[in-house]
Amino acid sequence: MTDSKYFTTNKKGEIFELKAELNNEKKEKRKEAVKKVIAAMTVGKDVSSLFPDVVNCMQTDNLELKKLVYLYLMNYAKNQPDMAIMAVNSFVKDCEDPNPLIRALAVRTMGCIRVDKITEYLCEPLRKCLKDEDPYVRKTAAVCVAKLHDINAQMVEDQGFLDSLRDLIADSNPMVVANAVAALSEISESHPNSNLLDLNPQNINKLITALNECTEWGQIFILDCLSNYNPKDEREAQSICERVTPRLSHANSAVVLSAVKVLMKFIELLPKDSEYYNTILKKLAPPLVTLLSGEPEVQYVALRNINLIVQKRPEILKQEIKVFFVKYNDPIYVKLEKLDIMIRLASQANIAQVLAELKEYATEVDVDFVRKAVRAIGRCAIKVEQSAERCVSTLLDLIQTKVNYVVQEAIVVIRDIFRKYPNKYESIIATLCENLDSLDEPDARAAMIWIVGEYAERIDNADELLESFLDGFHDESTQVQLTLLTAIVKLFLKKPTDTQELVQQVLSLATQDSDNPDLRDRGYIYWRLLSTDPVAAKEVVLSEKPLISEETDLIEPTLLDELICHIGSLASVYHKPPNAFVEGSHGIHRKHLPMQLGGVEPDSPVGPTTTANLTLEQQPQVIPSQGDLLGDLLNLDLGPPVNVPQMSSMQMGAVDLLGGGLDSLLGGDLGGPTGGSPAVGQSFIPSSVPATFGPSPTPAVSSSGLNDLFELSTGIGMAAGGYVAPKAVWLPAVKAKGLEIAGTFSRRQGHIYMDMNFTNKALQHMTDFAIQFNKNSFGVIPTTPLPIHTPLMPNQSIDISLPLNTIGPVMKMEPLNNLQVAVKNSIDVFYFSCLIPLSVLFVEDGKMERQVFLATWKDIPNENELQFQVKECHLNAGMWTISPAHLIPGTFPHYTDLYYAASDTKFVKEGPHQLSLKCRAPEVSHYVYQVYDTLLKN
Amino acid sequence: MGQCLQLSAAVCRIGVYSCFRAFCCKGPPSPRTEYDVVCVGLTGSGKSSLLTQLCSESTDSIIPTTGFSIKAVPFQNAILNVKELGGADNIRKYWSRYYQGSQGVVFVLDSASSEDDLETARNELHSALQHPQLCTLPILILANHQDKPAARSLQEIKKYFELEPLARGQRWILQPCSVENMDAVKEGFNQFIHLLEEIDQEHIPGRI
Repeated sequence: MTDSKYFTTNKKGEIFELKAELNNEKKEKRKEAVKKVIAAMTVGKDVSSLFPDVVNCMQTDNLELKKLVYLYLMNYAKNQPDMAIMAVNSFVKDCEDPNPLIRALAVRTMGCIRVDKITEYLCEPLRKCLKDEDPYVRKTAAVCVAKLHDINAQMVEDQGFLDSLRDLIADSNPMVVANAVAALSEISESHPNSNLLDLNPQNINKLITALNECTEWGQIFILDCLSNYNPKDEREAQSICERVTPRLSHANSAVVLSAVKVLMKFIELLPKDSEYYNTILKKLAPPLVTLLSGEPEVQYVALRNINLIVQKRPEILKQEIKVFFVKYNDPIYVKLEKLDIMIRLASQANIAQVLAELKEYATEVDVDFVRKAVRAIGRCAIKVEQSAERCVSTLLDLIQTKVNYVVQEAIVVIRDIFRKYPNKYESIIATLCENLDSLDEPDARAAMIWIVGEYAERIDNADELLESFLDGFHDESTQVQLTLLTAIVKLFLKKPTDTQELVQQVLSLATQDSDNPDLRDRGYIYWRLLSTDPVAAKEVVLSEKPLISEETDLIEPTLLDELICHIGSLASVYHKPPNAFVEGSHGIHRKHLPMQLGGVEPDSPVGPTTTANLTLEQQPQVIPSQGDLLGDLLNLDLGPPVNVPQMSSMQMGAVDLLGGGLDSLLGGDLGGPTGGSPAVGQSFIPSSVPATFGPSPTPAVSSSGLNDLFELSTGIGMAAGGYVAPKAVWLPAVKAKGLEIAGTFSRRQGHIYMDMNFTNKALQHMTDFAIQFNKNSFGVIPTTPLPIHTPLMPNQSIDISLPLNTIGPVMKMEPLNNLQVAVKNSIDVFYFSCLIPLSVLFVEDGKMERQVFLATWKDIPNENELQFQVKECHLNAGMWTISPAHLIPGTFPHYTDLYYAASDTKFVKEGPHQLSLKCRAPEVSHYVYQVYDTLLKN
Repeated sequence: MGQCLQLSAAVCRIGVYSCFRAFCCKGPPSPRTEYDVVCVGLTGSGKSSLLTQLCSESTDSIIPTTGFSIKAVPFQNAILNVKELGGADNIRKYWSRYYQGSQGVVFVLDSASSEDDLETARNELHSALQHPQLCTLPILILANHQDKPAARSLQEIKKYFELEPLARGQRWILQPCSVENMDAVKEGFNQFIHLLEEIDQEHIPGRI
């Protein structure tokens, strides 16, 4: 017997039995069989082969059986897309069933069957159901449209379902309205530019009326939709707010949060001094507090949202700080979040209470929580100046406890306090130094080293302390190494007499013995600074540091505004914009808070950030990712490695490091070159010195680098419109029976023109000129007919200027800026193509706020970044920056979202330059670069 | 004595009860027999129209059947549960999966259709009749659209479809009809029901 026996079996198996039962004559048996099939399906058995048999049971008047079959269909229609067509007629019939439950069931199932092939058959039944007399059917059908749109958007539009949905907004039944709104919102999310939900005062009125009557989930849909509306004036905003306010007392926390969102958005439009403004602020507090009485999970979500609200408008909850005091049985995630909010709400009025609480927390058992509590004390000290003294003494008390992690955390925050209040609390340095040995975390060690370096002149044994760290230099983390290097250089500049050896040692450790480029670069910079001009070194290294900002851990204002618009969604829990975590959401429309009419309003008066400068400086600390951005920017500041031209002087400098160079500093001879120096110099010179700064870890340097970038802007960007390429022959006479066309594109007063020269080289005159463009990437079309009204005589030439705009049909061309033109005259029709220089498409008013630019730059993925070498440029000033601001946003019609280019460049007079460019749509990068290139060369 | 009386009274009561049962509780009159029938045919041959008319419903909003449709069609002495399968190309391939459980086949053809369609119809009919689940069943062939000028005669159709050699051993009826002439349709169905009943009768002894 062969092995084939294994493949033949007498057992028919479960599927076979089920199949037989499904075809049983008795209805009861069939129902039983379908139940068995569903059971098998739910436990994961593949029963898709029973598809025709189950569908066979579909036409029955038994509602239970019908539901089961529908359930099966939803699951398996996708596996059997071809055979799903067998169910179509049953749907059609069921959609006409006298029982509204069956009609709704059918239409709901239809939406769930995601099979492209049968969707077209389902349009008619859906259309009927959208106009059904029963509201239950209509509301189900409304959702079905959204589902269908997801499968086949084009078809939904062609069939006019969107209009039907819009009609449903005016429906008499509130649930239908809510579902129609939900469906339209969902659909419009995939069409960021279309104005699907045409929100006008009438519609808004209908929505608000429905709001009071529909279910809680319907209310959420409506509120979310309301929040996207921009009231035309403050009166309208106020009246909407008044009608939304009752929702704040709803039992469903999601409804409350959605209502809060609407109010938070519309409050922007109300004048700050109006009575109603303050009423709303008062009304917002109690519901938010109530949210904290729910389950811990709900509390957490509420707290994350409150965190945003508190940053935007701290005045709402300033009286309620007590509800954020931590309870002993709160889960850790709630505790940490509450702590965060407590600090944000801390003010002079309540600081005593807050400090008492924080001190209590610092003695708890949970390490993470304790650390955060200690850090919170430090932040209170920085935020509320009056309390600084009390905070410092609290911290000292905590250090006395000698609990290791408490001490370390305390030292880290004390460093920040020193930064904020220099020369005020140095008396405690002695206490800190006692704990030097117990520090084992890089953060704490770095903080301690910084303190020692900063106050080296007051610490008698500063050199000994620092030297003790030097022993294990290579085992330290980069952070500690960098700080140590800086601290020792500071020490040297402050007490040059007996620390030369130390500084020599650390410089050689950092440069020769280290593989870390950041460390090496910083080492070389110090070395060169010290060797060339010690006075300058003193100025640079011991320069006055900017004070650190009052608040740390703030969310960037633009992001905060966006997140406020997403209150009650995942975005507000993650504190990330939706496109950061929703897959395939490039098209998602970025939401903005409404602007108050009649002038841009600065952010909230007590608001965390008042000037861009402040935020910039704190950013390196606030948002970790910001560091990368700064790194990016700094990296592209300076060109590729350049060979150092003055070899000999370098050598001299290196040799002379501690000799002549220091004379001016010390006013006396400090001894000759040490033994190691020549060797150092030798190894040092052949390798070209990279002139690139590493990403600088100190905020002061970072911000100054940024300032360079932004402030040295010149008008080059404006030239974008001004530059016109010389005319090129587009259509030679030989190809066009004697008609020659030369032309170019230009931009004048914000309009695009096609400047052309028509020459008649034929022997007969030409009349009846007309021009047409093929569809192109930017939708460029002529706004007027060709302005040639008189016949063109032989050998006559005429200059015309054809105004263009960009509202025409769009089709992507290859290359992108290709334009195909047809010109007709009395002789024939001629075709040619030309390239539109992108510069004419740039708009003039592309100026971008520094903040917005930073956010944009960060927002565009790094892989879209392209770097170009600019070989030559005819700029004659010393240093130019094409401000990134000029050339950026939304300049390409129709591609506003896609082609969002950010660039930033700095040009030095000589040598190659580097230009970095980021575009939302990487394919345009090269074209944008060409624009820069052309502008620079001409 | 008293006992005797009691006993006879009891016997009487039982007798009266059994009489009563025999007389009144026959149960409801036996329902009309139901037959499950499958109805096939190309698109446009008029399956849905005929069946809808037989059910005395409005034929205004008839659209091509995509998938299948089950209708209970009442006749004088039987009810036919007709499972009508759509005739479009993409549905025909699934016909065979819906044959199971049928007791008879109705094939509707368009007598006035083009040669190509007629050819397709013939192939479909042949493959249907050769299907193991249908090959023994009685078949009613409705040559529809007889009222159209281009309609072929019954003889032509019989010849073209090679019905006699094909349906050897099978009971079949070829009935000309049109939507206008519902009497012919009903006549065809009545004969068809006779066939079904005959088979039923033959089978009953076998079943027992």
